[in-house]
Amino acid sequence: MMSHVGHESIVESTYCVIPMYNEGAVIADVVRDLRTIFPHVVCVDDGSSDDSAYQAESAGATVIRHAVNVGQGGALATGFLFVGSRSTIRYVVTFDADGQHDPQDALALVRHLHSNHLDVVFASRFLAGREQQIPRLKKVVLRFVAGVTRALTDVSLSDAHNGLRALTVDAARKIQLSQNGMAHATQFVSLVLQNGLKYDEVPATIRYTTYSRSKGQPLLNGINIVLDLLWR
Amino acid sequence: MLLIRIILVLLFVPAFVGITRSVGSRSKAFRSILLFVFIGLVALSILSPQLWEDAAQILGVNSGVDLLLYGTVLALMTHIAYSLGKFRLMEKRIATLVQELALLKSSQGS
Repeated sequence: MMSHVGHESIVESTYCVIPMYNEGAVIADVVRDLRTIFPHVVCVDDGSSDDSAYQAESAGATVIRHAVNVGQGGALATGFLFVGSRSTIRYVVTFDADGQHDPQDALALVRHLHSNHLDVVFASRFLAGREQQIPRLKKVVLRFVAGVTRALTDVSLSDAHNGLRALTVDAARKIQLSQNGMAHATQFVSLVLQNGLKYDEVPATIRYTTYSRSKGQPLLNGINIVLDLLWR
Repeated sequence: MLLIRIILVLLFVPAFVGITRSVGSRSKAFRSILLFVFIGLVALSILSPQLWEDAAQILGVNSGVDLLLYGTVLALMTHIAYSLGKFRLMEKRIATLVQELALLKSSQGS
């Protein structure tokens, strides 16, 4: 068990990056929930037309606003640039805005990163029997995308498109995403390999709520992701 | 007959890939020359349709109309590929601008 001082030190030196686009209905709860563990949260508002930025700010997050919608990969890249300039920060967590991740899982990822001296830790909904909750069709698409990622990057991950990850600030500086859309997740894996970063996977739970299901990637997006990767 | 079809189909791949990846001034000049040559050939075909028939016979294509159709499709594919390549480049530039602006505004606000 990690000491209280160790825990404080870890969460104080971690910045959570949340790319968000029209998440006004849930973002305040997501930020509040996350801030019960991590004091530093930055939401990159990717050109939302609703009150996402106001809601996130009122819940205590720092908000960076994109003037126009760029894509989740572009928002993540902005978040990395922002955190990369913070001298007191050692770790970065990427966290989805729709409330499907558990802040306790995020903490487990950072602890794993810290105690094993890794560069990147990926969350996986396919480890430790947690895949039971994944809708069947979604599972097929995720397996397909993971297979494509494996073929394109030579990195064997069970859940390449999970938005929950933990990485060191140095790794975030090296992972310069140019894929602005959803294909950024595969590019992320590819850049981990290219930069020789040490990585691992940790089991995590995804909360499939009605909201997250409606906001989640449409299944046909799997095809868009593959086309984006082939035509980069 | 079969050979020319294979050659024409194989032309699509380098045209599509090459043009989407090259949007510089050299490729722009090359595309302009190709466009003018193609317009010239089409104008010539109006004045002398037999020229396409003769060319088709030499290349082993059914008729001059077929040859013109292949050329048109190739020109269209090239244009689409170039436009998509240009669009992707513009997207990347806009993303960079948006990110720089967002970070600048954020640093001014803090």
